[in-house]
Amino acid sequence: MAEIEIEKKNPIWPWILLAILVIAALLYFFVWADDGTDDVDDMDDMNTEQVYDNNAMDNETADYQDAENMQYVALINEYDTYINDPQMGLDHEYANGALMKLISAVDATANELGVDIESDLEKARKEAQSITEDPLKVTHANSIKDSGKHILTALKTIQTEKFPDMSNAYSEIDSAFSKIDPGKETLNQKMEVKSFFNKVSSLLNSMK
Amino acid sequence: MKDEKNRSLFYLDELSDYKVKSGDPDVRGWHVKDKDQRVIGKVENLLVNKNTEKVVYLDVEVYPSIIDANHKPYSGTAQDGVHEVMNKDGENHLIIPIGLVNLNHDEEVVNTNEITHKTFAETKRKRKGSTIDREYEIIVLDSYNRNDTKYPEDDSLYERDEYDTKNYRNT
Repeated sequence: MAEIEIEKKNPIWPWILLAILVIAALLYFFVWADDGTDDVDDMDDMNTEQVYDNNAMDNETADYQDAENMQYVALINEYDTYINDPQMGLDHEYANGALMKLISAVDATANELGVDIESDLEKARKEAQSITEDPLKVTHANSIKDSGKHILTALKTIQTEKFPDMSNAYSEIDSAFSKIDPGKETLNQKMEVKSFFNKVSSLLNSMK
Repeated sequence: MKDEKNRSLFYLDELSDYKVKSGDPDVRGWHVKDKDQRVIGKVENLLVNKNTEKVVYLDVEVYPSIIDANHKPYSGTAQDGVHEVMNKDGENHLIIPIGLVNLNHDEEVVNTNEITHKTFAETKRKRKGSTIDREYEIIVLDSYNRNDTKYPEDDSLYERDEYDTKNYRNT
């Protein structure tokens, strides 16, 4: 077939006009309209969100604080329960368990009060953990003495910074601690060891 | 001759708001073959009647085989007084009425089943883009038809068989 016809091209200007209208509409909605009366609404939205956020933050902070309170109180109670458990004999195993729970309770109390005693407690932990590695420490009270001196330093820091009127209670702990002889077996100085743990418990419970 | 204002024949690329109709072949760039299947040139442009919106002539750039033949253009009844006019350097385009061609769509070739290589070589040529007037149209028709036909001066010319594609295909 040889017949060839021609036709007018589709005019391009309607498309250009349409594109201009679309761009103009977008500008209106996203730029000019947003700079107008909508400002007030935006501010309201921001305030509302901010108030909501503050409440949420307060609630979250409170919940978090409650959880921390619960944690340090729980650890003190756990320590009390452990040292007063009649099923436990006053041997080296008991002493080691009591020391570890005491360290945890003191640590949580210090965190709750915002007192930095981490280095002392770290040393106390190392001494307590070495009990299982050293045969002499297993049988002798030197494990309590080595670890306890760091715990006492930590307790003294807390008492001085946060509870200056409890210096007597601390002195009683210090006195009880000095009566433990590191050279004697734990089983032969049950009363002294028990007295030390009880007096520390008394102080920690006073700090709740 | 029609003046510029009243002309109806235009090269398609002069009409920026027109294009080949969708579905119809745009033969620009296709090779043109003579009756014996020799390539004589390629379609460079389309001459259209703006009033009827149809292609009337193919504007063909001829290859050197046509130019080098160096034949004197055929002078028929319409060229009284211009019998000795030769093709000049740079005149390498000629027009073919649309009714004298068939299209091979698969190979994209324009076939001219009735026109020989010699006839093409003896047809008066023009320069690229030259305005097509009635005088030139009749010279070309005379060359292809080689008879004493008297062609009309008005647009009824395009109602002839040379422009009637259906009639041509049936012959």
